[in-house]
Amino acid sequence: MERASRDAFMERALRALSFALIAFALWRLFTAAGDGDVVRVRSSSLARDLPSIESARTAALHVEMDAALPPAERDALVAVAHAGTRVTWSAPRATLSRQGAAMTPLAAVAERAREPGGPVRIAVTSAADVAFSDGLAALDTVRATAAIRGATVSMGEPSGALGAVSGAVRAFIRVPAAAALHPVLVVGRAGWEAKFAVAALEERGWTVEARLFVAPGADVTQGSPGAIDTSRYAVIVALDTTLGSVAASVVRFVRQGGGLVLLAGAANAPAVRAIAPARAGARRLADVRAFDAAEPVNAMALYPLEGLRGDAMPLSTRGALLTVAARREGAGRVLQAGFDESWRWRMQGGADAVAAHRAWWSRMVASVAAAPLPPADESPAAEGAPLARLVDALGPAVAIAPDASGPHRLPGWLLPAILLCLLAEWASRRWRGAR
Amino acid sequence: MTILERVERARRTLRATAIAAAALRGLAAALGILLLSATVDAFVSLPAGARRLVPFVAAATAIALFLRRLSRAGVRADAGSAALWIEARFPSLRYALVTAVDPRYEGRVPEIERAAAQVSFEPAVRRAARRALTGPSIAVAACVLVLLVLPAGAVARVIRPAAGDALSRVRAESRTNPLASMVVRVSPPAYAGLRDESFDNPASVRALVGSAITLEGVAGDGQVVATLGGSRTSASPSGDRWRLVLAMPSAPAAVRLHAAAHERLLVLEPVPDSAPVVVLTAPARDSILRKPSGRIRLSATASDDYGLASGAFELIVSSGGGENFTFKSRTIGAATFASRSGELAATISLDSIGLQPGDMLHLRAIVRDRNDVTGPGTGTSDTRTLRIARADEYDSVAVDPSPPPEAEKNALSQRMLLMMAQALEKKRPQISHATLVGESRSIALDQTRLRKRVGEIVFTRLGEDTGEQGDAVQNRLDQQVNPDSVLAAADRAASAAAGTALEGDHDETPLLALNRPLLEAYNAMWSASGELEVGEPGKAVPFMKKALDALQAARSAERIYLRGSTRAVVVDIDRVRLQGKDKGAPGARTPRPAADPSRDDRIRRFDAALRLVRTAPSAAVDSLLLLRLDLLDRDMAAARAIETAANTLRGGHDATSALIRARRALTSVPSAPAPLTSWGSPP
Amino acid sequence: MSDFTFCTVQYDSGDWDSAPLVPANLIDSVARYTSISVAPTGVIVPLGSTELFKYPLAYLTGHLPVRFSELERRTLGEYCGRGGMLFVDDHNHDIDGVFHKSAHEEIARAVGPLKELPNTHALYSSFFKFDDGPPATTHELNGWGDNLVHKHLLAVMRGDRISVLYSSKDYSSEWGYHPDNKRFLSVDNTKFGVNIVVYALTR
Repeated sequence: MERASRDAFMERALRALSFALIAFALWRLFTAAGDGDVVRVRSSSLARDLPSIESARTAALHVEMDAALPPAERDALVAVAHAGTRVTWSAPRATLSRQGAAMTPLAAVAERAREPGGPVRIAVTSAADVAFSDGLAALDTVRATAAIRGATVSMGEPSGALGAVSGAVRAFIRVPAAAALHPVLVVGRAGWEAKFAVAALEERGWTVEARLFVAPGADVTQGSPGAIDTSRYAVIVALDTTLGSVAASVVRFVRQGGGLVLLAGAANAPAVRAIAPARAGARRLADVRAFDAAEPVNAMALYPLEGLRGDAMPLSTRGALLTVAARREGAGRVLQAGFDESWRWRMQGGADAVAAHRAWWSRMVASVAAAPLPPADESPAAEGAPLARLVDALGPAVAIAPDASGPHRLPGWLLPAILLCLLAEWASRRWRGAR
Repeated sequence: MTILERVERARRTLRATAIAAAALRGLAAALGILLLSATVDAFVSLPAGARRLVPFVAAATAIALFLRRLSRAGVRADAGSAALWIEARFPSLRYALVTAVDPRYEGRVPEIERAAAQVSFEPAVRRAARRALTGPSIAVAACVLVLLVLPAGAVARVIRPAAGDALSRVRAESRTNPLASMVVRVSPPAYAGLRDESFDNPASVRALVGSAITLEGVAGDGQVVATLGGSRTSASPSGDRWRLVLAMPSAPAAVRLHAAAHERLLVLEPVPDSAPVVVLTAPARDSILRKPSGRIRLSATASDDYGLASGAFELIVSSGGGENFTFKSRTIGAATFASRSGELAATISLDSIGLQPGDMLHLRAIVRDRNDVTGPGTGTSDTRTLRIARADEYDSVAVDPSPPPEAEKNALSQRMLLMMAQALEKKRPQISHATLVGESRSIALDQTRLRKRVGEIVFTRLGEDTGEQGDAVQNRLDQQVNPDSVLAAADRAASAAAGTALEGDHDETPLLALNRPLLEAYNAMWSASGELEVGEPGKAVPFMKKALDALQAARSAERIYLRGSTRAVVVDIDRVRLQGKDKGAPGARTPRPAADPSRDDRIRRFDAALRLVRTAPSAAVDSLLLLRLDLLDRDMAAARAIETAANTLRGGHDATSALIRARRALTSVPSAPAPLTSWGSPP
Repeated sequence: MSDFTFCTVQYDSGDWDSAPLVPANLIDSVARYTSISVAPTGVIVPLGSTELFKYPLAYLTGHLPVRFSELERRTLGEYCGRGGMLFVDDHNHDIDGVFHKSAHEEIARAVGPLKELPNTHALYSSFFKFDDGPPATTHELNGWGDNLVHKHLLAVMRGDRISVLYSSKDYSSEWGYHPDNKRFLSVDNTKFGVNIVVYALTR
């Protein structure tokens, strides 16, 4: 009997304790936080909580970043901070879900290749995997091992807004509009190089005009003759020293902003000597015979670049020989590539040689093509480095002890404690045989 | 009847009842599984693989349950357990029955037997048997009744699942959409010898060109009309179903089916019938024959993907030369086939063809397959060319297996001379000096005669093929046609580096270029003659061996295209540059189209399909299938990626990664290889 | 280093070298009328050899049946696919002859079917103007071969470019003379050959 009374006492104590905990929970639910409390919110629910936060004029607000913070909401927090509330933020706590990953730094910027149908190239750096998506669906993912060193991803035209997500950070990437490209003018002697260079550019989507010298007074032309200026052409490609009627205008064209590509020995033409990055040396045959898919230019004959100008930038070499260089002349650019008979790559190369030859020619022309700059996009939705902007706006992340609760928050241990007390009380009664 | 007999009868009854009850329970369980499967299949179409397992699962369950019930029922193995069963129901017996049937007490306690005999337990046994069998019997009867009520097709789908039984499924939805469930039966053309196949609700069908494609569904609202290309075909009713027959076209196409407000797409992918593959095994290579006589064996092997029909050898005889040729053709060795592979064999008699020197005989095998839909496919072998040598070509060294050319005969003679010189040197100690010199000079005479014949071969080659430019070449030759010049040329030939091409370099005279090995032999023979003239056969032997080696090398030389190299005319470019009287006036060049002009359109269509994935997945699948159709003959990798994404969507699974891959395959842009950087790109 | 080297195709089945003077004659003509850097002699390349890809314009002729091996067929298909152009001339001038029929069959198998080339095609104005299409040859006008004057050439097109040009007019005989003998001709009959070369080099 003594034991029975002890058990009954314990049961009454447990019941009282559970009622006390329930009362405490009710009290916490229906009372607001005091002025000295820090209001904690999650970024995923910030849009819903912001009105009450702003109207409550809390002293301190802490935001836990469990999801990407859109720029508009970040700016709203900046406004709250300026109104006198101390705003801090922290990275999300480690959870089982991958969504709760750390706030990894992420920076991404996109550029569009200046060629028809060219890819959008996105340069990205992050400490974690980066997933790209557009308005339609996911696009691609760059692994952390590549992103941490800085990676460049090429992809087709995105549909809608282009975004990148890395952990809890989301970047909205601005993709410049496709520039309207003027035609390319190819000049030189009629021959296989002219035929296949023009073919490669046209097949790649460029509009090409041509002046191919066949005999005195007998040129094969494509396009209507007219002034050589940047309103009509984006690039002039000189295949050899035969410039014909273009010679008189090419320097002015480049200085106005046009692009000039000098192949083989074209740099030695009198009209372009003054603006070429270097002069073309004596022609040399290649040491290798086969067009290797990785380095096909090694099998091309070469006019090595000699006497590089001081303001020219060397871009590529073959052993001790300079093969490609470029320089700026006025508002324009000049690219000199000493390779000769590149058409052999298309004819004698591997299975992908035709497409690769086209891409090579298109890339060369695109690197100097004159194109109007795309208009600056002031859209607030686009930002490529969101974490940097957040730190800039609200300061770095802070670590805050999980002690205080917000106006609607109950301690996590409360409900299990209540249940445990009730369960223990019931078990004890049943054990005694009481009802 | 004694008590023992009564108990034994009761035991048998109980045992039979237990076995029957266990069997009925097992049967009820099996029927229940079939009934459950048919019911589930009515709402959620079970895949054929799962349905094939149902009978096995039902049977296994029935057997397992039967054995378990038997073991639990405790089949009455002996009279004692039967007696115990009776005692449990008649406590008044107080184990009298058990004692009575115990063999140890049999006949010894008659009063116990009498007491046991007074109890009538048979009715209880019968009642127990009825109770034990009633439940399972009712269960079995109920299952059978329900299965009988279900449509036969629905039951057959789980008992005997087969391809094409989709229409037998009892569907939970209303039968208003005749395109909701469709079976496609493919009947390949008869010549292919393939079996018919059925497919349930396919999105695409692959079959041989010309196959009959039968579409069948359950009739519902509206008539089903199929649009293929520009033609429309209406389905015909067949009982409670509709049926429509199409022919597999030769190019991929999409069949659009309409019925009232319902639509469905079916992609037809034709499988072309390949032409037979023919290999001419004999003769194994081209050849030049010295005489147009003899018999030549012809043989060829052929194979086809569906079946061969007939084959023969084709012969074309070309006669003539220069600008005048006549041709005769015939076929021999015709044969018919009845399988997918076969052999052709024939023998031709060159005498019967009437070939003349200079004629050419072209041989090849031609085989046709049994394709009577798109026309018989014709496969041809490589062509072998047999040429009958002219008399002036007997010095050709590219002969196999012709009789040995003059060079070969020279080699035999040179070998004989060598042997004679070696034998003379060997018997030198036994003969006088005069005899040695005499015999040595005799060998020298033969050697000189042989050397002159080699020299004649060299000159004979050049003497006829002068052509238009002959004057210039002939002048050069006239200057050189004397033994000293030939010897000088032979010297140069002999001292040339090993491995030099037999036909020579471009700047050599035709004389040297043509006859390098023979000139080498000529030179060596000259030296050998000199030594033999002075009675030194031993010193002549090395030179004679060298001549023999050179003749051997000439004999085994590759074919030399003498006519091509002898007639090379070098144009004096500088002399004729721009000397033409007429001036050209080139027309304007027209631009080439882009390599893939419809690429942007395909990307737009893919994006449009992506937009439908969440809101209208079936429409998205149709769009992807149509896009895949356009890619089939253009970009197989992208077509495969899109097919995978479409099938994943159709299965109701998450198609995110499949769509990413498809998108990447479709929009990938060939990138320029290194080393061009992006120098010059906007900042 | 020359921009253009004339290439004669050597194939196994027939008399590929039946017009050995055509290369020199066309080289001479190209040098006479244009400034194109041209090699002074032609080359002979086996059809099945990868060397063929060094010469994006190739010439094929003969009298005898044309039968390509599988390697030759594959090489020719790849050659034309990359932008090479083959000029085929029937030295028999006979559309009922074995060269014509067999060449058609082999070209169709390797590259594609031959179709009539309109006489307004750019080929006929690529350097000299031929308003009436391909110029007739003396063999046609003298009634040799099939006794026909063929008004059109045939071609396999790749897009709008000629991939294989086929002639039944026997230009191989028409042009098969030493270039020095041009001085005896009042009209140079090789000018159409210049058109073919210029077309190949510029289109």
